[in-house]
Amino acid sequence: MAGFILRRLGVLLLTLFISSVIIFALLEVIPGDPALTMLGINATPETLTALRDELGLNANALSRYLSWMGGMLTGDFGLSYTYRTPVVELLADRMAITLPLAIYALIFTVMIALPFGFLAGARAGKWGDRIILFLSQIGIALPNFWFALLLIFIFAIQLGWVSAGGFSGWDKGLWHGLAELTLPAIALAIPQATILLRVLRSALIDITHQDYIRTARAKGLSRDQALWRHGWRNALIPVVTIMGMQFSFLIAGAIIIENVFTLPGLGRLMVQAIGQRDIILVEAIILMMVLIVITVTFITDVIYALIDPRLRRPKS
Amino acid sequence: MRVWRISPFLIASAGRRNLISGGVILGIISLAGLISFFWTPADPTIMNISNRMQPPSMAAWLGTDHFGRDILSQIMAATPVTLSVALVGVMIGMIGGIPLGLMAALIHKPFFDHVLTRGGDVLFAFPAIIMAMLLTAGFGAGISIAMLAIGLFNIPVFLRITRAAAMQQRHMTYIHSARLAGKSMPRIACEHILPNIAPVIILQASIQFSLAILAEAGLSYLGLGAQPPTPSWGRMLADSQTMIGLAPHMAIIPGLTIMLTVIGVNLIGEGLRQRLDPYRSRQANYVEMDIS
Repeated sequence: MAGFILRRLGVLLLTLFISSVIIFALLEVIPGDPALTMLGINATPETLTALRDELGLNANALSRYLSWMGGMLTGDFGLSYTYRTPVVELLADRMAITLPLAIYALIFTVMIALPFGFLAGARAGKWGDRIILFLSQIGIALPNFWFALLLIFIFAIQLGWVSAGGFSGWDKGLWHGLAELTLPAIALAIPQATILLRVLRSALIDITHQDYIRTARAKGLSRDQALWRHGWRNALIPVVTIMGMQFSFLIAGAIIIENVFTLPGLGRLMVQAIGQRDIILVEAIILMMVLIVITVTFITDVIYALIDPRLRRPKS
Repeated sequence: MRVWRISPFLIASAGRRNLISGGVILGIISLAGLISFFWTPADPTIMNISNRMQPPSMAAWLGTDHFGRDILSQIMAATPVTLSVALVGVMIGMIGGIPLGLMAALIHKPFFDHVLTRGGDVLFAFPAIIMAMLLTAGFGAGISIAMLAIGLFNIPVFLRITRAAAMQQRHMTYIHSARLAGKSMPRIACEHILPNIAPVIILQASIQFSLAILAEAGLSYLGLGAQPPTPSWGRMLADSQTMIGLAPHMAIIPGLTIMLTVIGVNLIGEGLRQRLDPYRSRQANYVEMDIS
């Protein structure tokens, strides 16, 4: 197991390294002068030279990449050009909304997907299954930001139960913060939950046809008992894989949802940074998001190996 | 004498039924998009402030927006944009991913396979929306950037699925006999393996197409897709947000359009699956949604 984790960790670092090169290179090949792009055409020559020095544009690309990466490794992400604050502080602030939001949404996803997926899979072809399948057909086609708008319309404007957006911070207590994140989390979760539900359903249907379930049935267990005792763990394998991928979709989805609910998270910061052409900030946010995505992939791989010992061996 | 038959739609297999209903939905929407090149009920860009936020009526079938623009005309004019961004996005993914996947599976060099799969993994760490933002930060927003971002995201998807499917075919007897007959590996890949794995790829393409429509809508909602005055479903939703209390139809109609389009594509995908993969679909309506 230790060897497996080390190997996966190596893959994580390699992926992160290549991603950082891609991000750096892409913003490096921007046509024209980055300092001019950031400041716009009305910039005075003095501010232009100052920004060029700050960005280190006079050095070559390799040494710029090295100092950028070196800074990242020592926790110095540079200074945001528009906010005039260290990028690290901005990221930490915003992450305190995006990460809890994504985790909260993941919890909703699992809470919806597991019971309904199990019900549909264990009763495949029956009425309950058909209704769940029909609803999931709609859920998959639902654009999450439109669903978010409808939630705002119903719960904030028509019923007036919650505010239409914004986030007053975690200082007011955990419950207050969670209450404000509930609608965004549901909007993020519903489409993903319907996907997860279908994965669990088809995994269960596959399992019902396995020999070991027939054996369990032959020895006298009922369908449900057999599925519950022997099928459950096996059905979890595809579910965990998809969940790992879904977390990265939740993070990406949070970019849009944060903009719908005007939550000051990473996604909103990113949209603003792009609007203000704050390239230092954009680079750092994207790298941070990629880091979250590949860290989650890494955790999924480890959980996967815990459930299924066969995966711990290196592939031959 | 005429023999009366039950409507073929009712006795058709589930696969057929899905294909027909999906085809009808997508057909109507595409047709509306095509018609918009010649005719729309009103000019989708003309503003008429005195007539703003009108609910659906005989004059404006789907109502007007906060500038008094006709919503039906905007929806129609936005259709070709969304569909072409999604289509090109998936095409880029297929053109890039399928040859790479075949190469990874068929070239007997573990190192080469490793580099390609890892490369795919790296690309996969950038969800389409993050890729779009990276590209937009560099090159500015626009339709082609949205296409490219969705396309880049799709490359590793097709790489993986092609590689996995081709790996299964690699050791089949017909491949060995083709080799013995003296065919080169690239020829075998194109003439034998590709036709055999085509169903898997087509199914994946239908799934990616529906995801691409959602991605395009999301990007244009954030202002990273088609730029004004070109209408887009996503931006119509963004515009509707502040007016939602006064004119809910401004939000409901574009959202329903997106959802119907995606349902249409998904139904076609489901129907194709039931046709192309009858063994699995017979097992109690086998449904699997690959989100990758």
